[in-house]
Amino acid sequence: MSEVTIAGMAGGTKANDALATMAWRNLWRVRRRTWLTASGVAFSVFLIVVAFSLQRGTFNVMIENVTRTLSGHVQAQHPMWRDDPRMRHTVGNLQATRAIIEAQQGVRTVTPRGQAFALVSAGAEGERSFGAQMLGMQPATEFASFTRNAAVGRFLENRREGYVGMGLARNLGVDAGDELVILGTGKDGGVAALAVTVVGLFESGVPELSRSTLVLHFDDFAEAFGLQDEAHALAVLTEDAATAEATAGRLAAALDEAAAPLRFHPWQALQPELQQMVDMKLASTLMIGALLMLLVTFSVANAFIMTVFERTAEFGMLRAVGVSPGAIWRMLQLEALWMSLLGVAIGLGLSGGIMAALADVGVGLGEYGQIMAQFNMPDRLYPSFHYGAAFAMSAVMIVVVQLAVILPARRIRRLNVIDSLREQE
Amino acid sequence: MSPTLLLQLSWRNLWRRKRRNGLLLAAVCFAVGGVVVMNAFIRGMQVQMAETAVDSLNGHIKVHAPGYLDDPGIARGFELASEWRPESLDGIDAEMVVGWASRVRVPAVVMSERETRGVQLVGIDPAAEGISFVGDVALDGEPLSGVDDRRVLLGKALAEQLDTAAGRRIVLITQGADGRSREAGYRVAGLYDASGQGLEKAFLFTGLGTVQKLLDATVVTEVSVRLTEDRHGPGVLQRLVNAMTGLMVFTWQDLVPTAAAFHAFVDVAMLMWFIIIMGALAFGLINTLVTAVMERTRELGMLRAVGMRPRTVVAQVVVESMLVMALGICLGVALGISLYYLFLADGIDLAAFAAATEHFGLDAMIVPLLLAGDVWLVVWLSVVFGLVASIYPAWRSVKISPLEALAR
Repeated sequence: MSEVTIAGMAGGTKANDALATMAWRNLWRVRRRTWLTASGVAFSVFLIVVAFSLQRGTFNVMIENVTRTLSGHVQAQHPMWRDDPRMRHTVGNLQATRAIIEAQQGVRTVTPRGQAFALVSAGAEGERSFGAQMLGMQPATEFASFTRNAAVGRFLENRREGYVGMGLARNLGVDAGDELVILGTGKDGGVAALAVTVVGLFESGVPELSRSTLVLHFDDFAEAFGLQDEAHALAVLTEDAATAEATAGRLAAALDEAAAPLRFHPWQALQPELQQMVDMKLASTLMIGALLMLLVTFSVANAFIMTVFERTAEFGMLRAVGVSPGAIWRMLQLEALWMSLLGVAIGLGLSGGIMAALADVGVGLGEYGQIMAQFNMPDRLYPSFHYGAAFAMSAVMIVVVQLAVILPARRIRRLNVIDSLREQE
Repeated sequence: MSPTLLLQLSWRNLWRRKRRNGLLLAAVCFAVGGVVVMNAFIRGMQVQMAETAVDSLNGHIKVHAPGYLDDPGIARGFELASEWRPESLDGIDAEMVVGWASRVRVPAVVMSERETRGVQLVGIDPAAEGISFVGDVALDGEPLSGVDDRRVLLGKALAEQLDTAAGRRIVLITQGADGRSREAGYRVAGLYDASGQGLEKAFLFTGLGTVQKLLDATVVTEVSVRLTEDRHGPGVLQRLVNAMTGLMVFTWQDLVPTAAAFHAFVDVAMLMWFIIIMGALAFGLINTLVTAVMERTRELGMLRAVGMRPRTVVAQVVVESMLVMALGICLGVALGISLYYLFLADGIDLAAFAAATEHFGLDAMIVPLLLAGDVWLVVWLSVVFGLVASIYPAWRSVKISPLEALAR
């Protein structure tokens, strides 16, 4: 130990620099222990960052997949529609409302939708009849993913055409080219009747859709069910699903929700299970994080208990030459700081490197991909480095390590100089 | 050295560093406790998911006519002799079977005075439905009295959509055996609350005989068998396949692949969770054990010099590690079990996530399940982990040369 260092530790501006240098050197006196303890920190940071990065990749894709299937990012509906979807709960002033929404910043597409339940019959004498969900869609503006890739034939282009879910088509025994007759109840309670020619069959990720849905041209739908310049929903696709809530708020302000019977729902409200699934997954990751934090705390505290114990004689010597207990304590805290920074750096380096390498290639999930697909999740994960998690976990680890040192460091204050020097046989 | 002496020596060595080993013990305890609790959670979800799948009119084993799943209709029904019993079949014991039910299930349209909806019309024998959720569902109104009851049971959510109530009338339209539409009016006996809107909107129940009469049919479209234990599934499946020629026999796993997939994933999830937690613990454990060896270099060198064999030194390190692990595992299991009985056994209300839990086929109330087998697995995996973690410290201990050690 050089005299400069000791002089520095007595106080003054250089004191902290000297302490920091000394703390760093002290770390390397028992390399194995430093590496093991830092590895614990690195392991935790790595795991949490990787988990969050993988999940974010998953969630982004999942949210896009689910919202693009049908709902869109935001929907304008009658205030009662979401809880009680009835024929008469419509959005009025359709054309004007649609124009205003379209003009808003961040809005990519707006498309009207009609929804009703009706009896669908196939065959010359209507020998096969099934109850089905009618969806009125505007072919020119529609974005729902299942309208893009027909399993058989094509999506609607003209009026008097029908696009049928695969399951429903099987039940009805129809194929492209066949005729369907639709019989339902119109908005005013009268009979809604319509005949369409099937032009395409679809399979969607949502079994319910394929099993029981018949898509009609929106104009046909409006005519048959008696909607006049109104729709059951205006589905909006925005630039970014993440900002859907803000967009819904902006749209509501632009259209003055109070004036018209109208409400804007972001996808979080339309598909609460999606948001909750994300939240549930995050909650369980946080639980793992908390337990890891606890274990790292124990491991670090233990490492420093050992350090302090082994160096009793050394600390006694420092005290004897006039270094205050506070300075020794500070030195220990600095050692812990260096150690945690080392661990954090390794953890971030590893996770960042691996995530960067996988960002384009993706991670195949093998047989579990099928499970994921059933929950609308991608079967291949494209991680995107989660800076928030990286920053938060690093900060948490640094703080936790600082706290863990307090327990063993208290021993320094109680140190009896004479006794401790005697320990150095 | 005798095992007793070794154990005694190791035990005393641990007490030489009370605080350090106490912390280590606490870490092992929290890690094991955490894993036990988490496993109870995962296991509870798994069992509940399977239960829901079996309960939702599937049973463990289900028999359909070929093609019914693609084209559900009375045309895809099959005759079932009135004296048919699963337990009368060769190789199926009565104690394997909780019960069974035959049903007619066909798509139908239900109309109230105000609204129209699509449903699955299910004709049941109320006396046999102890095997499915209808058997003990919360009911607002009256239950069905028998196979010829002409009233219907509606889900609460569906009744709300239809704007109808118990005592009111609804009209059902469906397709008869001849392919022609049938239409008939029925009175609502009661509304059932299945604590999941999916089921409530999907199924409308009435007497089996009533549906058969409406459809002009004598056939049923399905037979569900509920077993006492899931493990009887493959055996019973095979017997039924042999006995019911020309019909399709499914397990609930075939019918609800999502739940089956999750079911299969659970064991992997438990293992992953264990590895993550124990991985974090490993660093602290190895660190402490190595230090315990290194700070006793002189002492161990001395022992070697006076004739202790390297084998015994290694044994001592391993026994010390195992003692901490064993104690930590005991305390951890005790912690996990106490947490379970104090906070978890009655279930965790995930009402805030209700939409997501239903999506996964779970109740909003998750009831964690502590299985002795899962706890045992954690225990012996932890023991193995403790052994693995003591390899490096043990290796360090034999590398100590008596001469050098004594010279220090």
